[in-house]
Amino acid sequence: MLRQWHFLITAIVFGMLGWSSALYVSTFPAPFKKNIWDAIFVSFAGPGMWGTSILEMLRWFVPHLLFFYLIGDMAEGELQYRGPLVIPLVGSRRLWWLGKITTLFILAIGYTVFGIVTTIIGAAIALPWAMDLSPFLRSGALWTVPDTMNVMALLAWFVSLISSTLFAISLLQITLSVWWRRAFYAFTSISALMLLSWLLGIDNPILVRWLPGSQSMLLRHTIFDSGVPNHSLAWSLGYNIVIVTVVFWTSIWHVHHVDIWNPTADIHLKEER
Amino acid sequence: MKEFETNLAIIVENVSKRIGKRIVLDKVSLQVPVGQIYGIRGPNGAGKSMLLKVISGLVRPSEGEVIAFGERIGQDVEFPKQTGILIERPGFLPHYSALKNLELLASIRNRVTRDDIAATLYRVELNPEDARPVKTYSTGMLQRLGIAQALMEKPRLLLLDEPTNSLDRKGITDIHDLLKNLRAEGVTILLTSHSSEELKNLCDAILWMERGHLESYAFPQP
Repeated sequence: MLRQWHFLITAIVFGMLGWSSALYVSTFPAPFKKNIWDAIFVSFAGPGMWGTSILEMLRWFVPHLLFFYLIGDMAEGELQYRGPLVIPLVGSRRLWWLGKITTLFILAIGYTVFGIVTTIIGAAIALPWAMDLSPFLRSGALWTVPDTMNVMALLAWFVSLISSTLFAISLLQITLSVWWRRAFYAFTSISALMLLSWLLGIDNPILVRWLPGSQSMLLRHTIFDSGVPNHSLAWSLGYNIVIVTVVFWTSIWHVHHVDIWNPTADIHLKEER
Repeated sequence: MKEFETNLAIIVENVSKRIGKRIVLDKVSLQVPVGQIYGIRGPNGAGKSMLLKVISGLVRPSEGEVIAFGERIGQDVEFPKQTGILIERPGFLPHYSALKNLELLASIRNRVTRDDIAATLYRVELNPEDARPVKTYSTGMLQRLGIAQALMEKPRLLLLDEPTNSLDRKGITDIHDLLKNLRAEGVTILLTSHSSEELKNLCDAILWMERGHLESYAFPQP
């Protein structure tokens, strides 16, 4: 269940992200004018493929990690504590699970949009507002941004790739949490998977589009890095849809057979283990 | 499928449940007639609660079958219809009042009104106008609320795991009177308890469980 501190910590993380990205952009001595969209680009473009910058990785990884943390217990926790109350009233495990998936989908989009808005606010502390991408960003000094790209297109890329990746990976996470009956195991496994994807993708342009989680790294897409072959927006969305479809049907099958109780709280069974 | 015997609310046939290597229930068979109270006694870890969980559809049996009012649980329906369940400590939302908690649960099926919920709370001696969050409730009050939740939608079958746990003497008497009234209204009740006195006072039959087995039946004289 969403609590006030969830919003607060999300706002703090994204606000800091926007502010620190704006400061980072400000350090570049460039003759071109800069604006908040430079900071937004730095905040959400993800790590590039040709280096092991920890800072770049953290800007991408921490917001993902926070989302996985916030939603980590939503299925398994309910299964253990409110499940015996709620699920018989719902009448079907699968119906309950569909409710969880729908909630997750809405949360992934909501989190991404809320995150971007908060990042804009954070970035606005250090950089001026503008309605278009800055000459600095378009100069190609640091990143390759296509001439046709504008603010709305950039935001559409961010929202679609980040929210679909968050949804796909977190659906896998809550499925694993119900499978293993341990939310923490699923959280750590998914976090490790994301880090592994980042690591394996470094200097590996052929492999990168096949790695789960790379879909939310804009700088590892062909449009922003011509050294990465065939990694398009359509590919990434398709990749996430395939993950969602496979995990959805697997989870639907599994949830139908799952026991609704708290196995770790049963004293008598614990004694036997 | 077996032909449904109309006087039986629950039929449990050769139900086993394994968790890991442990056999928690071992070929348990049981029949509970409509409108009667059956009690289950046994030491900790005997499988009493697990049996209720299997009958309620919360836990899938490894083997065997449960039939409630003619419907096979897990095949015809996932959970027995019109059944109130009190198993383990119910996970109420701690920041909401008792009434709000029950209203939220009732909103899932929309079968009962706010007045019905208030009446159920009165029935277990809780005040529906009490605005305090349930996190401030004593264990006994939470137990009463759990019973109210089980009764809320006017069930024909009640599955209660130690319903008088944590209640004081008056609370126990109140709940006993309530359960007897429900039986008079035709509700079938299966409950577990550690108290032989309680079961003798309440039940039409008492079952003894040990190590996952249903060992014996007893029929207390009225």
